[in-house]
Amino acid sequence: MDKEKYRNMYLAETAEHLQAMSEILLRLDNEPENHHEIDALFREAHSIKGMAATMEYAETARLAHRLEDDLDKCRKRGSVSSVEIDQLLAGVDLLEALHDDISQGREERRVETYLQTLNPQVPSDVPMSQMVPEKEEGDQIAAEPLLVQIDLAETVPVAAPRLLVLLKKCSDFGTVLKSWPSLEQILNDKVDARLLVQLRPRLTRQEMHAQLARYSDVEEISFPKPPATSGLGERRQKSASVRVSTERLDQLINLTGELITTRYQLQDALKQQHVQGLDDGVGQLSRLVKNLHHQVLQVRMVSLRALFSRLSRIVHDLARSSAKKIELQIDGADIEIDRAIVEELVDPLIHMVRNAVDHGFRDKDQGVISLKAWRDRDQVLVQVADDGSGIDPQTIRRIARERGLLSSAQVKTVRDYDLYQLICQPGFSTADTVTGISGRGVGMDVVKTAIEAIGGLVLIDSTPGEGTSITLKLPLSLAIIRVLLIESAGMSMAIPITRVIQAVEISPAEIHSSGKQLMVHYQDAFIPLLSLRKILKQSKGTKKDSLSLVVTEVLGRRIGLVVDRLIGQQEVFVQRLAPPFDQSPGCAGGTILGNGQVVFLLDLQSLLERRKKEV
Amino acid sequence: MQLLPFEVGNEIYALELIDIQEIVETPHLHPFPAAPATVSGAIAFHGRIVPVVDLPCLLGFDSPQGSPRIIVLANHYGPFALAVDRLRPLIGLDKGFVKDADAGVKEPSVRSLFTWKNDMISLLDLHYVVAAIEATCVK
Repeated sequence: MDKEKYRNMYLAETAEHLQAMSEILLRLDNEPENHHEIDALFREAHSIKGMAATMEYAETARLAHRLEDDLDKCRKRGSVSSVEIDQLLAGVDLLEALHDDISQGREERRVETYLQTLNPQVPSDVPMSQMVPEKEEGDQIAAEPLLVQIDLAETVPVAAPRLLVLLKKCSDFGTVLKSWPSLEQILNDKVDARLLVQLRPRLTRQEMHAQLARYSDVEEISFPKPPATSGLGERRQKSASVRVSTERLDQLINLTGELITTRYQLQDALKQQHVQGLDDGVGQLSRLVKNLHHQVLQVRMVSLRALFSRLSRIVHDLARSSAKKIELQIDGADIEIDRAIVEELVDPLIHMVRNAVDHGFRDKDQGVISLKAWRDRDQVLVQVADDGSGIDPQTIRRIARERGLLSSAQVKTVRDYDLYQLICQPGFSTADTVTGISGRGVGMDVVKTAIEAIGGLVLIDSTPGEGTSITLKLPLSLAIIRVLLIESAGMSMAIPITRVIQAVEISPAEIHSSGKQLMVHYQDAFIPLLSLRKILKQSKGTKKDSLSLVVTEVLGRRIGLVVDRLIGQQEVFVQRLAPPFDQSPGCAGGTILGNGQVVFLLDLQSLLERRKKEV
Repeated sequence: MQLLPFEVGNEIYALELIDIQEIVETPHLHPFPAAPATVSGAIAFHGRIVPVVDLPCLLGFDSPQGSPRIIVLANHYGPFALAVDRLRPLIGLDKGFVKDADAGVKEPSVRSLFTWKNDMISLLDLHYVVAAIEATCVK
């Protein structure tokens, strides 16, 4: 377990060093003679080497050692060539891959091939001990516990005394943590012909094996692996550790202290039946809880810096591979947002940046891409913009008609802004040629789905000849959201307010039918009506004088969702369900209301997708 | 080892006590939209939403009375809970007493079989339960 703890610390820290390395390398690309940056880079590599060697991650340590050596040369020369920058970036990529290996619990991949592509320099057999730096860098980790299994020959008449001797022998090898059977069981003769010992060894396996093999009754000695973790275990390992500033922790501790004081005040007031005291106490309690909640949310917040630096790396690589001169302007990297949201943003933003490079620079060799984040009340906006040729609305009109997305009448009346949103339809691409970068027609629909899944919105704007900008509107936090509570066949459910366009009551007279599909007129268009009871396979409802409708957008289309009752809006704390229940279609988490009722968040998108598959 | 035996349909199953967090006697079960048949809903358990698996349904039994007893599993199982028909008194056994059954003779949901006071008791394999829910939830 200790090793696990150190591993998480190692992973968190090396991730920061690796990020710093790519950031510095990208800056050095512009100023190859900045010796401050070269020095900083050298220190980062040195830190990674030291930590990896301490943790006995041999491949990582060897690679970092090599990068450190190369950087030392650059440091002495006072500059880094662009070939070297590319080599170093490739080295950082490989270190990241090793980081992944370690975080997934895999064996580290070999770095030999990479080292050989460089000039041979470091002999591959540098002993680990030489790479471990000054002792004070982190405590030495005690040896990993090891299992030793000893099987006695079947001919042994009485096993217990033999096992006792062997168990005692094992204590010479290191600290015995546990044994099966235990010493007590051996003494009570509750044994068979096998002894399994868990110990922290001081000796190597060969040495232990040799010493145990001397006993004539021992038939087999093995070092079994600890029982494999189940799928459940692997999933749990994904919970990474978070680095929290001590300042934030201190604030949390202070708040906890105040909570304790309040508890005593309340207990005291209760004992004395002092109503005013109780009232004051409860008031104080709600203030503290609110504050505590705010602080805990802060702990979950991370800046967009890491994500933005990864994106600048991608722009750098794309510029190199397509021989274009791209200037990247970054603004707002310090904006903080819930880490769960940042994780979900990675793929969409990578896609958007690739799109911007590909489409924005189709007809020219240089230009600007801007990556911007800012806050607007309780929302965060992230924008990727290019100054390329923009999207021609006529092209979209043509494609929309060809693919049957719009009727010819609609093509004439649709506004340009609504037209741009069509890019998010599955299979829509205006790129005439498919390149390696983008334009395969998969993409913006994936971006839209991913962003909507976290309660966000995608806004597309473009001016022909001036460029295209795609803006993501995101909630600050996934934990607390505003929902619309609704009821269907006696079951209460919640819909995130960000997904609701409007909640309205309509009379049955307003319903039109087009074939089998019922429609209703909403803001100069007809939208289809879908019954929530039907979607959830609940029993049919009775006819009513008025229908409760939630207008929302699903799979890129506006629909009217017919529900039994609109209950109202509320701010709720959303809990994710434990895996694998979180995979169940239709349910995006749940919340416990003030009266103790559990209400689930309705995920219409996945329900309708499932229904599509079934049909 | 300490075991909690319980009835599901006409069979007796058991779980190790260390895998169990709490027993909820008369829970309020909240329905779950579009839940697979094996999930009977969720309970609010100390401020957490804990999904409840309909164990009789999962193991292929009928549960006409709606399985009123709920076993909340230890936190490293999510946590989630199992609805069972009836609980029986705890039993304490020597670890050696319960041996893993041969793969050929047992149901995949059973880790091992043993006899206790003329009853045949099946030690439930929770990994099987997790995998079975996964198969019904992830579609």
